[in-house]
Amino acid sequence: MDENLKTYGGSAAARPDLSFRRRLESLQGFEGLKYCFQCGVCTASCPITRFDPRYNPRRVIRMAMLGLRDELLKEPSLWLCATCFTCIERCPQGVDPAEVIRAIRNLAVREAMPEKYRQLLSTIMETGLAYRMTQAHLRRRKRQGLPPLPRVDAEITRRLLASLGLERLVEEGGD
Amino acid sequence: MSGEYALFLGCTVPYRLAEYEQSARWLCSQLGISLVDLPEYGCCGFPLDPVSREAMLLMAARNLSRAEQLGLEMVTLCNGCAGTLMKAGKLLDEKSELMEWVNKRLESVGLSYSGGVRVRHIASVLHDLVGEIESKLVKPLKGLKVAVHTGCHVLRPVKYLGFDDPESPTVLKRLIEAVGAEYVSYQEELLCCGAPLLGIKDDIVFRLSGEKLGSAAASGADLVVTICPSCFLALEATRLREKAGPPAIHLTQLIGLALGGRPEEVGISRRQAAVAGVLRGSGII
Repeated sequence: MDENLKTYGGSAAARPDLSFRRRLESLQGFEGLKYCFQCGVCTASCPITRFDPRYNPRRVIRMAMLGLRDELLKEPSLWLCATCFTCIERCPQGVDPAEVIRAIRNLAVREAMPEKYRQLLSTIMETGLAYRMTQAHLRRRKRQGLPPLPRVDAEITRRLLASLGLERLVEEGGD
Repeated sequence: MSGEYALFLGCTVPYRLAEYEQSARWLCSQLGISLVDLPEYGCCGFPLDPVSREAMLLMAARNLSRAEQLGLEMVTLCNGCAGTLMKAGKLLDEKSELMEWVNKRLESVGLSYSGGVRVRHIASVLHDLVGEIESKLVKPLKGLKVAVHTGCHVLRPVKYLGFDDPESPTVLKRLIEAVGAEYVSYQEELLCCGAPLLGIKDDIVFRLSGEKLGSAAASGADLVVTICPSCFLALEATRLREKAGPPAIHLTQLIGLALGGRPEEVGISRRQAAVAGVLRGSGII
């Protein structure tokens, strides 16, 4: 049995999944996961934890080390990281906690992605930019003496994102 | 001539804060920095990183590839764009298997990227020209107390960026002192504004930015200088909601004023009435 799992005591509350942990460790962003010794500098440095203790990066890293797949993918606090990257800068073990959390988010997009990301993805796939520029925006640019907006290649954006199968996320979220 | 750059405009600046763009273009023209708008561009990839790292890399790489075609370094006005393009560029330069994967995808849309395009944030370019800024000073901003908010995405992770010291940044301090204003340090200078959570968990954004503005006010700051459209919007949304704290001003506006720019030339419009009030109170405009 994995040394890390012994302390968990085989509780019925959560089922560690070693194959999921191995899958995590093979993904980009998880390289440092096995070096975490749970010192908690990430949580102590985290500006989100300071104002909302439900968010605890040390705990999320521990869950990842145990391979708690179902719990992780549904963990609502995953989406509270503001990506300030203080934890990456201060982690003494080079774990890159915010990168681990970003990578788990990538795996959890079907389970619990906030509506904002679905909207951003949808707008980017349609227009190439994160916001929908209107005629009013373009007219205001002219009034302010700004040059016309450079051409946006929406078609290339759409094709690149479609090659990753991301249009499925946009369609799924709409209902 | 102080250099030629491909300007990566991004999304938030032209959509919400064209006055920032206006002040940056005006300031660059004064300093002999030539800007070529990056053509055929698109989202930098930042908003897609939480959804798909691959999507982030592809979005960034297609923009880096356009700059490579122009043979120019890229400059951005946004921390999110700068951080994302620098990180993606570095990952691609260091990991040949990623570069290969990205190029396979780019090839299918008629593009390619061979690597090494340098990405700058406008504040870093201005910091390089600090002597020139000092020599062109028309109206030193005497008596103006300015706090800074550098913003997370140009500071960390430093291994991708090299913009400034992430625990004790000095780039903005130096620029503020160069234009004759007084740099005011405050307890929460390094605190994140929370902007990436706008539209996801607004109450946390208001608490972070509120704490920040309260701390800047307690240090006596008249203005908070920002270099990122998202930080600017988070701080301003919080200030208007709480009806407290110093108003935010874009770095390029502040330096522009000191180089003799008229308020309308550096985009200080009715939307920034509170900034105009502070500037009038200090006799700057």
